[in-house]
Amino acid sequence: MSMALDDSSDLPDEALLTLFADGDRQAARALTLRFTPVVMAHAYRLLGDRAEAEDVTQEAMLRLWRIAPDWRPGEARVRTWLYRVVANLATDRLRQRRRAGAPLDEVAEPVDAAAGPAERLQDKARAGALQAALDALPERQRQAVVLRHIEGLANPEIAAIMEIGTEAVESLTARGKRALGAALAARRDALGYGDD
Amino acid sequence: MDERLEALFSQARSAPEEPDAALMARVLEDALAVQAARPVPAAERAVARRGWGLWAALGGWPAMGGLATAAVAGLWIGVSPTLGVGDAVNTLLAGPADDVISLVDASEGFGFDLYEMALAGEEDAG
Repeated sequence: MSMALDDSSDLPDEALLTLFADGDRQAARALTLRFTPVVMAHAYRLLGDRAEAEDVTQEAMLRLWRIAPDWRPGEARVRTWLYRVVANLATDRLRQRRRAGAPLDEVAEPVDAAAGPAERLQDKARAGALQAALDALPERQRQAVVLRHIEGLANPEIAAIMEIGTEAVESLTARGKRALGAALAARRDALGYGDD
Repeated sequence: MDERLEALFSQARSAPEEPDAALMARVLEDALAVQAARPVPAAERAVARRGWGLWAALGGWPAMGGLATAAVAGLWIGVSPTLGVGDAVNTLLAGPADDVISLVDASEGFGFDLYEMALAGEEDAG
Protein backbone atom coordinates (compact mmCIF):
# COMPACT_ATOMS: atom_id res chain seq x y z
CA MET A 1 0.00 0.00 0.00
CA SER A 2 1.81 3.05 -1.18
CA MET A 3 -1.08 5.48 -1.37
CA ALA A 4 0.01 8.99 -0.47
CA LEU A 5 -2.57 9.64 2.17
CA ASP A 6 -2.07 10.99 5.63
CA ASP A 7 -3.93 9.17 8.38
CA SER A 8 -2.81 11.58 11.06
CA SER A 9 -6.28 12.20 12.36
CA ASP A 10 -6.83 11.04 15.91
CA LEU A 11 -10.48 11.92 15.85
CA PRO A 12 -12.98 9.28 16.97
CA ASP A 13 -14.76 7.35 14.23
CA GLU A 14 -18.08 9.10 14.66
CA ALA A 15 -16.54 12.56 14.64
CA LEU A 16 -14.82 11.75 11.37
CA LEU A 17 -18.09 10.46 9.97
CA THR A 18 -19.82 13.71 10.90
CA LEU A 19 -17.06 15.71 9.22
CA PHE A 20 -17.36 13.49 6.18
CA ALA A 21 -21.08 14.13 5.98
CA ASP A 22 -20.34 17.85 6.08
CA GLY A 23 -18.15 17.53 3.00
CA ASP A 24 -14.73 17.34 4.66
CA ARG A 25 -12.41 15.66 2.16
CA GLN A 26 -9.70 15.00 4.74
CA ALA A 27 -12.24 13.04 6.78
CA ALA A 28 -13.00 10.97 3.67
CA ARG A 29 -9.32 10.15 3.38
CA ALA A 30 -8.91 9.36 7.07
CA LEU A 31 -11.94 7.06 7.11
CA THR A 32 -10.76 5.32 3.94
CA LEU A 33 -7.36 4.63 5.50
CA ARG A 34 -8.82 3.61 8.84
CA PHE A 35 -11.50 1.20 7.73
CA THR A 36 -10.70 -0.15 4.27
CA PRO A 37 -7.95 -2.48 5.59
CA VAL A 38 -10.24 -3.72 8.38
CA VAL A 39 -13.07 -4.40 5.98
CA MET A 40 -10.82 -6.01 3.38
CA ALA A 41 -9.21 -8.38 5.89
CA HIS A 42 -12.57 -9.46 7.25
CA ALA A 43 -14.17 -9.85 3.83
CA TYR A 44 -11.28 -12.02 2.69
CA ARG A 45 -11.57 -14.23 5.77
CA LEU A 46 -15.26 -14.75 5.13
CA LEU A 47 -14.98 -15.28 1.38
CA GLY A 48 -11.54 -16.79 0.83
CA ASP A 49 -11.32 -14.99 -2.50
CA ARG A 50 -9.44 -11.77 -3.03
CA ALA A 51 -11.39 -10.41 -5.99
CA GLU A 52 -14.71 -10.98 -4.27
CA ALA A 53 -13.36 -9.55 -1.03
CA GLU A 54 -12.33 -6.38 -2.89
CA ASP A 55 -15.81 -6.01 -4.39
CA VAL A 56 -17.42 -6.49 -0.98
CA THR A 57 -15.00 -4.01 0.58
CA GLN A 58 -15.81 -1.31 -1.94
CA GLU A 59 -19.54 -1.93 -1.56
CA ALA A 60 -19.41 -1.92 2.26
CA MET A 61 -17.47 1.34 2.28
CA LEU A 62 -19.88 2.85 -0.23
CA ARG A 63 -22.72 2.04 2.16
CA LEU A 64 -20.81 3.78 4.92
CA TRP A 65 -20.41 6.91 2.77
CA ARG A 66 -24.09 6.91 1.99
CA ILE A 67 -25.31 6.41 5.53
CA ALA A 68 -22.95 9.03 7.00
CA PRO A 69 -25.46 11.93 6.94
CA ASP A 70 -28.03 9.79 8.77
CA TRP A 71 -25.61 8.20 11.23
CA ARG A 72 -27.03 8.29 14.73
CA PRO A 73 -24.25 8.79 17.27
CA GLY A 74 -24.05 6.23 20.03
CA GLU A 75 -26.32 3.72 18.36
CA ALA A 76 -23.58 1.48 16.97
CA ARG A 77 -19.85 1.58 16.60
CA VAL A 78 -18.71 2.21 13.04
CA ARG A 79 -16.54 -0.88 13.06
CA THR A 80 -19.38 -3.06 14.38
CA TRP A 81 -21.69 -1.70 11.70
CA LEU A 82 -19.13 -2.41 8.98
CA TYR A 83 -18.55 -5.99 10.16
CA ARG A 84 -22.29 -6.56 9.95
CA VAL A 85 -22.50 -5.10 6.45
CA VAL A 86 -19.54 -7.22 5.32
CA ALA A 87 -21.15 -10.35 6.74
CA ASN A 88 -24.41 -9.65 4.89
CA LEU A 89 -22.64 -8.92 1.62
CA ALA A 90 -20.46 -12.02 2.01
CA THR A 91 -23.51 -14.16 2.66
CA ASP A 92 -25.08 -12.87 -0.56
CA ARG A 93 -21.89 -13.68 -2.45
CA LEU A 94 -21.70 -17.18 -1.02
CA ARG A 95 -25.31 -17.82 -2.00
CA GLN A 96 -24.62 -16.63 -5.53
CA ARG A 97 -21.59 -18.89 -5.58
CA ARG A 98 -23.64 -21.88 -4.48
CA ARG A 99 -26.33 -21.13 -7.07
CA ALA A 100 -23.65 -20.93 -9.74
CA GLY A 101 -22.41 -24.32 -8.57
CA ALA A 102 -18.80 -23.30 -7.95
CA PRO A 103 -16.99 -26.15 -6.19
CA LEU A 104 -15.79 -25.05 -2.76
CA ASP A 105 -12.35 -26.52 -3.18
CA GLU A 106 -11.60 -24.39 -6.21
CA VAL A 107 -12.34 -21.13 -4.47
CA ALA A 108 -10.90 -22.12 -1.12
CA GLU A 109 -7.36 -23.01 -2.09
CA PRO A 110 -5.14 -19.97 -2.07
CA VAL A 111 -2.70 -19.41 -4.89
CA ASP A 112 0.93 -19.43 -3.86
CA ALA A 113 2.94 -18.15 -6.78
CA ALA A 114 5.87 -16.81 -4.78
CA ALA A 115 8.94 -18.96 -4.30
CA GLY A 116 10.90 -18.53 -1.08
CA PRO A 117 12.58 -20.23 1.85
CA ALA A 118 11.08 -23.51 3.00
CA GLU A 119 9.84 -22.04 6.27
CA ARG A 120 7.99 -19.27 4.49
CA LEU A 121 6.43 -21.76 2.15
CA GLN A 122 5.26 -23.78 5.12
CA ASP A 123 3.74 -20.67 6.69
CA LYS A 124 1.92 -19.99 3.46
CA ALA A 125 0.74 -23.57 3.32
CA ARG A 126 -0.56 -23.35 6.88
CA ALA A 127 -2.26 -20.03 6.23
CA GLY A 128 -3.83 -21.53 3.15
CA ALA A 129 -4.94 -24.57 5.08
CA LEU A 130 -6.54 -22.42 7.75
CA GLN A 131 -8.42 -20.41 5.15
CA ALA A 132 -9.54 -23.57 3.40
CA ALA A 133 -10.77 -24.99 6.69
CA LEU A 134 -12.57 -21.75 7.47
CA ASP A 135 -14.21 -21.75 4.07
CA ALA A 136 -15.52 -25.25 4.75
CA LEU A 137 -17.31 -24.16 7.94
CA PRO A 138 -20.99 -23.23 7.97
CA GLU A 139 -21.27 -19.47 7.43
CA ARG A 140 -22.31 -18.49 10.95
CA GLN A 141 -19.61 -20.62 12.56
CA ARG A 142 -17.02 -19.15 10.23
CA GLN A 143 -18.14 -15.62 11.00
CA ALA A 144 -18.07 -16.20 14.75
CA VAL A 145 -14.66 -17.91 14.68
CA VAL A 146 -13.13 -15.19 12.49
CA LEU A 147 -14.52 -12.38 14.65
CA ARG A 148 -13.41 -14.06 17.88
CA HIS A 149 -10.07 -15.60 17.03
CA ILE A 150 -8.72 -13.57 14.11
CA GLU A 151 -10.30 -10.14 14.54
CA GLY A 152 -9.95 -10.58 18.31
CA LEU A 153 -13.34 -9.17 19.28
CA ALA A 154 -15.07 -9.85 22.57
CA ASN A 155 -18.21 -11.95 22.64
CA PRO A 156 -20.62 -9.05 23.37
CA GLU A 157 -19.42 -7.16 20.29
CA ILE A 158 -19.66 -10.33 18.19
CA ALA A 159 -23.18 -10.83 19.53
CA ALA A 160 -24.05 -7.27 18.44
CA ILE A 161 -22.58 -7.83 14.98
CA MET A 162 -24.34 -11.15 14.47
CA GLU A 163 -27.49 -9.99 16.26
CA ILE A 164 -27.57 -13.02 18.53
CA GLY A 165 -26.94 -13.65 22.23
CA THR A 166 -23.49 -14.17 23.72
CA GLU A 167 -24.30 -17.80 24.52
CA ALA A 168 -25.03 -18.42 20.87
CA VAL A 169 -21.69 -16.82 20.02
CA GLU A 170 -19.90 -19.15 22.43
CA SER A 171 -21.66 -22.14 20.95
CA LEU A 172 -20.83 -21.15 17.38
CA THR A 173 -17.16 -20.47 18.13
CA ALA A 174 -16.78 -23.72 20.08
CA ARG A 175 -18.30 -25.81 17.28
CA GLY A 176 -16.31 -23.89 14.68
CA LYS A 177 -13.04 -24.46 16.48
CA ARG A 178 -13.72 -28.16 16.84
CA ALA A 179 -14.42 -28.46 13.12
CA LEU A 180 -11.30 -26.48 12.27
CA GLY A 181 -9.19 -28.63 14.56
CA ALA A 182 -10.50 -31.78 12.91
CA ALA A 183 -9.91 -30.43 9.40
CA LEU A 184 -6.37 -29.37 10.18
CA ALA A 185 -5.56 -32.60 12.02
CA ALA A 186 -6.41 -34.45 8.85
CA ARG A 187 -3.70 -32.49 7.05
CA ARG A 188 -1.12 -32.37 9.82
CA ASP A 189 1.57 -34.19 7.81
CA ALA A 190 1.25 -31.82 4.89
CA LEU A 191 1.42 -28.87 7.26
CA GLY A 192 4.54 -30.02 9.06
CA TYR A 193 2.73 -31.26 12.16
CA GLY A 194 3.72 -34.85 11.53
CA ASP A 195 5.38 -35.30 14.94
CA ASP A 196 1.99 -35.26 16.78
CA MET B 1 -4.21 -29.38 18.22
CA ASP B 2 -5.58 -26.37 20.14
CA GLU B 3 -2.13 -24.82 20.48
CA ARG B 4 -1.48 -25.31 16.80
CA LEU B 5 -4.81 -23.77 16.01
CA GLU B 6 -4.04 -20.79 18.21
CA ALA B 7 -0.71 -20.41 16.43
CA LEU B 8 -2.51 -20.39 13.10
CA PHE B 9 -4.96 -17.77 14.33
CA SER B 10 -2.07 -15.66 15.55
CA GLN B 11 -0.31 -16.00 12.21
CA ALA B 12 -3.54 -14.98 10.43
CA ARG B 13 -3.91 -11.93 12.70
CA SER B 14 -0.39 -10.78 11.94
CA ALA B 15 -0.78 -11.19 8.18
CA PRO B 16 -4.19 -9.82 7.24
CA GLU B 17 -5.17 -9.61 3.60
CA GLU B 18 -4.41 -5.99 2.76
CA PRO B 19 -6.10 -3.73 0.24
CA ASP B 20 -3.88 -2.61 -2.59
CA ALA B 21 -3.51 0.98 -3.77
CA ALA B 22 -6.04 0.50 -6.55
CA LEU B 23 -8.75 -0.58 -4.10
CA MET B 24 -7.94 2.27 -1.72
CA ALA B 25 -8.19 4.69 -4.63
CA ARG B 26 -11.57 3.26 -5.69
CA VAL B 27 -12.92 3.52 -2.16
CA LEU B 28 -11.75 7.11 -1.80
CA GLU B 29 -13.12 7.97 -5.23
CA ASP B 30 -16.52 6.66 -4.12
CA ALA B 31 -16.29 8.72 -0.94
CA LEU B 32 -15.55 11.94 -2.78
CA ALA B 33 -18.24 11.20 -5.36
CA VAL B 34 -20.84 10.73 -2.61
CA GLN B 35 -19.72 14.01 -1.04
CA ALA B 36 -19.90 15.80 -4.39
CA ALA B 37 -23.40 14.45 -5.00
CA ARG B 38 -24.55 16.31 -1.91
CA PRO B 39 -24.12 19.94 -3.06
CA VAL B 40 -24.97 21.57 0.24
CA PRO B 41 -23.53 19.96 3.37
CA ALA B 42 -25.93 19.52 6.27
CA ALA B 43 -24.28 22.15 8.48
CA GLU B 44 -24.40 24.83 5.80
CA ARG B 45 -27.97 23.85 4.99
CA ALA B 46 -28.94 24.42 8.63
CA VAL B 47 -27.36 27.88 8.59
CA ALA B 48 -29.10 28.65 5.30
CA ARG B 49 -32.42 27.54 6.72
CA ARG B 50 -32.05 29.92 9.66
CA GLY B 51 -31.19 32.86 7.39
CA TRP B 52 -33.78 32.35 4.72
CA GLY B 53 -36.61 31.00 6.81
CA LEU B 54 -38.08 34.50 7.40
CA TRP B 55 -37.67 35.34 3.73
CA ALA B 56 -39.58 32.21 2.72
CA ALA B 57 -42.22 32.82 5.40
CA LEU B 58 -42.86 36.28 3.96
CA GLY B 59 -43.54 34.80 0.56
CA GLY B 60 -40.16 35.14 -1.15
CA TRP B 61 -39.63 37.35 -4.20
CA PRO B 62 -43.32 37.69 -5.30
CA ALA B 63 -44.34 39.04 -1.94
CA MET B 64 -41.30 41.27 -1.84
CA GLY B 65 -42.38 42.87 -5.17
CA GLY B 66 -45.64 44.09 -3.65
CA LEU B 67 -43.90 45.17 -0.47
CA ALA B 68 -41.38 47.21 -2.47
CA THR B 69 -44.16 48.98 -4.37
CA ALA B 70 -45.94 49.87 -1.15
CA ALA B 71 -42.71 51.12 0.38
CA VAL B 72 -41.96 53.41 -2.59
CA ALA B 73 -45.52 54.77 -2.52
CA GLY B 74 -45.25 55.48 1.20
CA LEU B 75 -41.93 57.22 0.68
CA TRP B 76 -43.45 59.42 -2.07
CA ILE B 77 -46.39 60.40 0.12
CA GLY B 78 -44.02 61.12 2.98
CA VAL B 79 -41.67 63.43 1.08
CA SER B 80 -44.47 65.44 -0.70
CA PRO B 81 -46.97 66.29 2.04
CA THR B 82 -47.89 69.74 0.53
CA LEU B 83 -49.16 68.41 -2.76
CA GLY B 84 -52.75 67.46 -3.70
CA VAL B 85 -54.90 66.55 -0.74
CA GLY B 86 -52.52 68.39 1.57
CA ASP B 87 -53.52 71.81 0.08
CA ALA B 88 -57.22 71.31 0.70
CA VAL B 89 -56.66 70.06 4.22
CA ASN B 90 -54.43 73.04 5.05
CA THR B 91 -57.03 75.46 3.73
CA LEU B 92 -59.77 73.80 5.73
CA LEU B 93 -57.81 73.96 8.94
CA ALA B 94 -56.35 77.43 8.52
CA GLY B 95 -58.91 79.51 6.56
CA PRO B 96 -62.17 81.29 7.66
CA ALA B 97 -65.38 79.28 7.81
CA ASP B 98 -66.99 80.74 4.64
CA ASP B 99 -63.97 79.70 2.64
CA VAL B 100 -65.19 76.14 3.10
CA ILE B 101 -68.02 76.87 0.66
CA SER B 102 -65.57 78.17 -1.89
CA LEU B 103 -63.95 74.78 -1.93
CA VAL B 104 -67.08 73.42 -3.60
CA ASP B 105 -67.50 74.73 -7.13
CA ALA B 106 -71.27 74.77 -7.42
CA SER B 107 -71.16 76.27 -10.87
CA GLU B 108 -70.26 73.02 -12.54
CA GLY B 109 -71.88 70.50 -10.24
CA PHE B 110 -75.08 69.21 -8.79
CA GLY B 111 -77.06 70.20 -11.91
CA PHE B 112 -78.05 73.59 -10.44
CA ASP B 113 -77.26 75.42 -13.68
CA LEU B 114 -79.47 73.10 -15.74
CA TYR B 115 -82.31 73.47 -13.22
CA GLU B 116 -82.08 77.28 -13.37
CA MET B 117 -81.99 77.26 -17.19
CA ALA B 118 -85.12 75.12 -17.25
CA LEU B 119 -86.94 77.51 -14.87
CA ALA B 120 -85.96 80.51 -17.06
CA GLY B 121 -87.28 78.76 -20.13
CA GLU B 122 -90.67 78.10 -18.51
CA GLU B 123 -90.93 81.76 -17.47
CA ASP B 124 -90.09 82.88 -21.03
CA ALA B 125 -92.71 80.56 -22.50
CA GLY B 126 -95.34 81.62 -19.98
